[in-house]
Amino acid sequence: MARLVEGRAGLTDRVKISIADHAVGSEGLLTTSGLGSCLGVVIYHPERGISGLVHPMLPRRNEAESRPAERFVDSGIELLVEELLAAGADESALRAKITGGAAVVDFGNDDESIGDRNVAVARTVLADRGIEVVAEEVGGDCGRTVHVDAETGTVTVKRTDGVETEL
Amino acid sequence: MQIDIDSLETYNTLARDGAQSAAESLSQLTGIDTHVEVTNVSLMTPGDLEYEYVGSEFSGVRIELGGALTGETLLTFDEAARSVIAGTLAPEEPTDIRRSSIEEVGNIMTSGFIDGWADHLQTTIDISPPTFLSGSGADVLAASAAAEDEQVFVFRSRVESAAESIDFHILFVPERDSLIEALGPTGEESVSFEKLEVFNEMTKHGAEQAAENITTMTGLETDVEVNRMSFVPIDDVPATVGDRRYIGTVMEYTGKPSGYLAILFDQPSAEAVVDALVPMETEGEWSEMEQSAVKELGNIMTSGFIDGWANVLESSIDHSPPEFVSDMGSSIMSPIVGRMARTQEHAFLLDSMIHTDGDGAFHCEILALPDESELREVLRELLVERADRTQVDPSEVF
Amino acid sequence: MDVLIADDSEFMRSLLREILEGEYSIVDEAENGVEAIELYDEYDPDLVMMDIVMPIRDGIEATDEITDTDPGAKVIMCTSVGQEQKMKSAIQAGAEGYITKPFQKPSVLDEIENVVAG
Repeated sequence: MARLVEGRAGLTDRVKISIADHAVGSEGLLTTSGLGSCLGVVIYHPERGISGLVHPMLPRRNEAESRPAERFVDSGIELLVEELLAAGADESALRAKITGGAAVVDFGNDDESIGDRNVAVARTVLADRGIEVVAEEVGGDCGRTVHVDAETGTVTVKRTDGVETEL
Repeated sequence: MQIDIDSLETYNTLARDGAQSAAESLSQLTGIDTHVEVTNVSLMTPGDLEYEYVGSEFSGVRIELGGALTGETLLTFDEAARSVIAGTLAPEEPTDIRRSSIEEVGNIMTSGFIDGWADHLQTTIDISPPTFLSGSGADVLAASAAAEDEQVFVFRSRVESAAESIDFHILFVPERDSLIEALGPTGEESVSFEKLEVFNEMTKHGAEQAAENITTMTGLETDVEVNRMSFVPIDDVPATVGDRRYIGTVMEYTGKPSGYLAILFDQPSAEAVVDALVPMETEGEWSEMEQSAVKELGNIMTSGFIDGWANVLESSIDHSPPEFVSDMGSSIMSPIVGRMARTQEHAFLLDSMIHTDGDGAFHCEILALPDESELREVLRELLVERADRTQVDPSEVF
Repeated sequence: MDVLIADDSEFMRSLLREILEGEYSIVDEAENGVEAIELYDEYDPDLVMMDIVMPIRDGIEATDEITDTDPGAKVIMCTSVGQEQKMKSAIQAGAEGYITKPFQKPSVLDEIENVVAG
């Protein structure tokens, strides 16, 4: 389901990303909404003006190769980085922003919510790859909508409690 | 008649790929970049299809299919899509030419949708010339088989443009016997079509009970408008519910089957319900008492909904105390789906919509997600002859 | 007659209180099964109106324990659950009456009268 936006200018200025989906682009907006416990992980190369967004739902793929890579935080990030490199980004210049990971529904019997685990795994995987996390808007109990300006990597997060943050 | 659930997965994938290639045809013809939001296959009565078209104006084409797979497809564009298509392909042209451009686009897109099915079946599927459709609700369905009571499988895809202002729907309603034949030989994992149908009716009965509970508690006259059992790729469940804001409750149930239930009211309906239950005026945020009232209503509706399953199956199903939620539908569903996605790739989504009689201003959705393998087991064990024994009067037991 | 209400829903407790007040004396309200057992020991009420779906311990477990310690205890299940197997479990646990929510005032008072009359 990967959609490379680069070179498709004129057709669209927005790419909407669903759950377990991702996109890489150099202009326009990458958007995703309905982020509950899921994450919106943005990775970008500021100087080259290339950004990517992935919307994973669960922390780790655990070698279940038949399952879609973008559904999981670890494999989703790996995939996104590969595509950013293929699109001309330098791994050493990549920066990341993490959004989402809320506990919209309190299941009571969980020690740690899926959202918290997603955030923890994202931090670990990005640190392991040497990608600096420059901003986060995570946790809490509200859903989020995320817009990424592909050219600058500027992220706008709108929460359902009305709070809007620019990262 | 047995249905192989695994091959239903394959066909759902075909429908998704078909919708994707229809979307690509549209991009090539008009430059509008679109994206398949959801694809699922539902078992429903044809009358419930009407809901797909309620409230907004659509135009599009109906195409009949023949050969290896018989049935019909309905491809409908919303008003914005119609005007962009006609504006791009037939600018400044008279109405009949504009209409013809919609027919032609519909024709090309339907071919794109169907080709994958024909390839999969290694045969040909014939398509009829398109019939132009326009209107809303029942108008769109007027000539189709909507009057029949018999439940049918409906493959539905919703496709949106990236800019979110344009969308189109593709519905594929294969004739039942033709689909079942296409699904091919059935294995051990198959379930009988009759049981699926009966279970769907039991669920409808549960939804009606839940609707009646709303009426008893609040005085609001309600009715079940739509009831369908969908088979959805697990990642698509949140998008199926959509980004609309909802207030309601989430419950986990355990037993046979176990799973999750979300009862979601849109904002005005939640306010109407709370006003009826807690007459005190409050400002802004939901007060403790108001949240408690919504939770108790959710609790009672949950019982109304799942008790029928337990009574017919002669088992018991426990549910957790309700959790109050207020957020986007998709955000509410994502942690539920996250839990289920650990063990299953597809979900049975039982979706019932409750409306007020007449004006339809009231809107409540009951979304049940039973564990897939447990539901298959339930369907195998279901005794069709007990299906009407959903309700038990305590005075007969005590 | 002293009545103990056990229900995790604040809303439902207030509704029950409204129905019962004036007819009976309400000794206290419990929010879960464990509290119901503790408050039963404390007040020794003539009747318990017991919800089933409650956190910590559910109403059937609480009823079982209450009637074990006090075989004369009178418990009416007051619940949304309308499952036959649950009704049977409630009887086994020692409940003598069963009211399904949503209820109307007369049916609640009738069921109480039935149970109290034995």
